[in-house]
Amino acid sequence: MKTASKSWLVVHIFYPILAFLLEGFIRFVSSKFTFSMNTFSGSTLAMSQGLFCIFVSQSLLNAKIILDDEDKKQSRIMWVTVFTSVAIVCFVLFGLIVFSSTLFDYHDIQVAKEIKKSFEIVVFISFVFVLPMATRIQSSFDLRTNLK
Amino acid sequence: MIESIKNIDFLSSVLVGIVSAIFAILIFTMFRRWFLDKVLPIAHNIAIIGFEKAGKTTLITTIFKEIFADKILGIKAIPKGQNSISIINENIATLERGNSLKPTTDQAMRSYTINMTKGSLLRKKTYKVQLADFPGKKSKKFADENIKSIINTEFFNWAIGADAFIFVIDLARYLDDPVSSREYVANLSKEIRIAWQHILNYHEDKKEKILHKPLIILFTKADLFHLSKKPTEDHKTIEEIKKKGFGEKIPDEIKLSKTTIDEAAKNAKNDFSDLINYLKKDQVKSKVLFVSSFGYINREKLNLSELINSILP
Repeated sequence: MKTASKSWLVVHIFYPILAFLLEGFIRFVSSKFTFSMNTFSGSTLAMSQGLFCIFVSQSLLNAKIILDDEDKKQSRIMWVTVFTSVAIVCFVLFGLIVFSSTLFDYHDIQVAKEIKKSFEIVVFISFVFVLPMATRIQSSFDLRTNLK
Repeated sequence: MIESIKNIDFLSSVLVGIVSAIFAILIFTMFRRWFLDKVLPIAHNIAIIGFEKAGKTTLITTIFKEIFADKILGIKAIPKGQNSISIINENIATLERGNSLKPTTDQAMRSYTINMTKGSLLRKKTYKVQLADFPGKKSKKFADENIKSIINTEFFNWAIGADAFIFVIDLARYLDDPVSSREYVANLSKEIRIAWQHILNYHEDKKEKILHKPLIILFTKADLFHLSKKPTEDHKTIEEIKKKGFGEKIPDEIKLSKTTIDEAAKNAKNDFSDLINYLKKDQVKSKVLFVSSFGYINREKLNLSELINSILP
């Protein structure tokens, strides 16, 4: 059975955030190469982040860690819990962003726009921390993707 | 007018992008240094492949002992997990009592995990180093049996994906009478070659990666060189070598002469030249080292610091 760590990163992290990156790129190009708070979507990022957190926790849970011991098992379970919790928070944030966006778009509630922005900022900032944590999980637990 | 506003818009958005990127990199670096390195250190697996009674466990224990005693500069280590803490300390105590460590059995196949910190201040890095202490019989099985029969074993899967490889050569067996020594050289060379070829075969599609991993050809029990610099026919010396190399009591610590070690090492390297040339070929980070858990030069255990620095990233 062949394994690879780079493909683990591609499958578990890059693919889930691909939608977010593509959406941002398309908006960047269509807005004549200008960046703004609207270039990247907080709701898409919340969903992408939630997805890769689920992928990472599942990978940790199912990985056959060779020469494992009780302490390492406990550490793995702790990180599975951390990533599952982050995923739940991300999905909740996704719901809140979409809900506040709907309130603003269809009912013209101005405060909803501000709430949406706040949630988006939370998602963007959390991404800076969650992404390196997810990649470090791979190198710390030596997670690999089965290639054949 | 509109054109110049558009240009300002474009420039300011680029500027915002660059500032955001720098800010993100800064936060990421701080987060990595102060949080990730401590909570999730990078795993670094070291496979020690050698045969029965070659001194692998004794060597691992001596490495820990030296690090804990702060005798190896720039390296700090903390054992992780109850298993590692109790076994490492029990083994250190056994050596301090003057007794040899018992051979690692299949049932006792174990790994030691330690968090090793290398460097200082900004260059400080922590690694979760896992050293697998495989029983000699398993190592032999690794070399002897058909790859298909052991491809799914825990040992094979672990060793094949290791980040550094140490192939152990037992000088106590090499310094036997010339006939037995020649046989040992031939058999061991064959077995190590097979093991390495299995590893290369497994990584065939990513050979570049494996060729950049540290590979150490490690001659253990180099303190025996003070008894003989090459295979000997003198029975008394052979008995003494066997007693010190495989006895129930560990040999006394001895001050080694660099000239003697260099001279004897030349002989050993010459006898293992085919194997050494084969393993060193194309391998970017390969090294031949002579170590001893009981012999020292300039108050330092022979080449232990160099060994540790060679196998760490």
